[in-house]
Amino acid sequence: MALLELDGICKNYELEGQDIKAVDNVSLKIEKGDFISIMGHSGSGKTTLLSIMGGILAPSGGSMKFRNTDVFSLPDDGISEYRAMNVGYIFQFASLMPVLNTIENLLLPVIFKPGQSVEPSHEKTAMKYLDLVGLADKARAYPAQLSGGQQRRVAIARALMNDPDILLADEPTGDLDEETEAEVMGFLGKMHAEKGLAVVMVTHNSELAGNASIRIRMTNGRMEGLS
Amino acid sequence: MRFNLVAVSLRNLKRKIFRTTILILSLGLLVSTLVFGTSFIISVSSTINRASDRLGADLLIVPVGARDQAQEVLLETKVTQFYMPGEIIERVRKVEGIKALTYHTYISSILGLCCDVPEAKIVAFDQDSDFILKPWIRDKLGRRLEKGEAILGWSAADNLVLLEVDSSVLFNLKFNFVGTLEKTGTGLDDAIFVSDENIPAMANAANLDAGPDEVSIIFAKIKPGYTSEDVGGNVEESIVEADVINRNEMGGRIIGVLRDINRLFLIVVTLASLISTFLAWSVFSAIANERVREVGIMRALGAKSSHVIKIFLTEVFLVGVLGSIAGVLGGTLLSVTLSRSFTILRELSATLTLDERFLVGAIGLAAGVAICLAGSYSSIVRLKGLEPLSALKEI
Repeated sequence: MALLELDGICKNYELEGQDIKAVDNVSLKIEKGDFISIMGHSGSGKTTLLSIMGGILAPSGGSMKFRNTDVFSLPDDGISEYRAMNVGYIFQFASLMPVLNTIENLLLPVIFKPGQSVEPSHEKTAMKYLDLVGLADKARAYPAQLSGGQQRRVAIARALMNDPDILLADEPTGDLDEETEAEVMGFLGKMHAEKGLAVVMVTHNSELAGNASIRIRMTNGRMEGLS
Repeated sequence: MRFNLVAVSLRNLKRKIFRTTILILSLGLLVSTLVFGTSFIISVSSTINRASDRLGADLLIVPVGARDQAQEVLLETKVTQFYMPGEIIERVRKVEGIKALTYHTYISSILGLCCDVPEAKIVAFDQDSDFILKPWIRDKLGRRLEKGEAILGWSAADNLVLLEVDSSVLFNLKFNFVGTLEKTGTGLDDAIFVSDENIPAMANAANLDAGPDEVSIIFAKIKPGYTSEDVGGNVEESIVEADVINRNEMGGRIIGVLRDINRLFLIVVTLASLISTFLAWSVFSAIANERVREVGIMRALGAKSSHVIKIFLTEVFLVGVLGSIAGVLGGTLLSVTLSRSFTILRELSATLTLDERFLVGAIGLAAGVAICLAGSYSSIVRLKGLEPLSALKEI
């Protein structure tokens, strides 16, 4: 049984009277421990496909099963639980809550996980991840006091807080300098190796894509290459 | 504090502390107006109701043309005199439907102790037929009032206690004060009560306005099965020298004025509530607009729409409760400090009981929170309907 199985996924938009196929009949199986990169030009449907995998965008057609459960047949709350319990999402933009400090940003997904409230053990876990991303000394800092790279690392640590099965990263190093990019990629690789996470990473950078065990190319919404 | 949804709401409120404070203060001002106005209206109307209930009479029979004066004496702190022949008592007793009667004679006096002693009304009453003071005298004194003894109303006692006296000379007769009645909230709080056996002696000693057989008001209870309107009508028909005030007409003049004040107050509060609702709407709409992307992030992290609504509603509720509490405190303070500057309140000795104060406070609290909720409704609906990805892409 695949961890996540996409079958004939489509996503259509209507733009100025024209039907746009952002994702066109994509089928894919993701197993535990896979490291998948998705490459393609802007507008090729990479982020749309990732959003569907993350359960934040419903497809127009096809099905997506997580451990054999059809995610999009679930009610809205069920899809939220899928996201809270199984998915870690790293956005392509700064995504920290400005009113919360670093450790509170890490604890945010914990309060959304069903039947769970923040315990001292969660704070310890948060500190452990902050230590791993080299920001233990910034636990009480607010996002505005962090650099772009530091914010990105906090977002990665936050994506791991609920111990997800699959980590979805949308251009996680998009606006970072080379040194920070290497740090972030090193961390993602470490998490993948140590925790056996399935990682799906959207990137423009073919060098970064080279880190993945499975490389997908998207063109006009279609999955063209699988290597 | 443990990190939870409420902690997120608190952080959000602190983010724009000036805006939050302005919203709380605006709401507080509205609730103050509401609490002050409601306190005013309720204190006047309930004081009148309490006063007429206290008297325990269904009908008040007064000399023709003395309706207003009688109500001034019974409801307000005014001192005034009006008399009718005592033989009217027996004529009233014969009217069909009358069950019991008693009467008061009101005499005004300046106490001869000191220049600071206020004018007091002396109430002479018949101990045998009395049903107005009887329960109080039974509880407080436990025996009949003797000649030369007086009981003080609550406020009259207040004035005399300041002078540390236990007796006084009224119309050249010395009276011993043997007790103090509980506060009634009626005009009788300012009175000094003596038995009507003292009237002849007082008349001999001084020049009284009242003749020895004259009375001011006859209080009547009616028999079961009769209406006060019918019996009152019969009294007025058979005794042309008397006017009748029904229990439910007590304070009619004041209540008429109050009705106009009430209407004015309602218009002001309605307009202020609308302005506050618009203010809350515009502020919460601005807050919701600022939050759209954050809502998208939270939804992507696994938040249900109910989590988002809880966070937002907690903010709305906190603003509502804080503003309302400030308003209830402010309005109560205003009503207490300004109550003596309103003639109607001063003359009625109008006050609110603790229960009534709680009721007014609860009304203020509920109204403040309701205004916040109403103002935030469209924002809540909008945030609830946001799709995670479209929220992330908005702005």
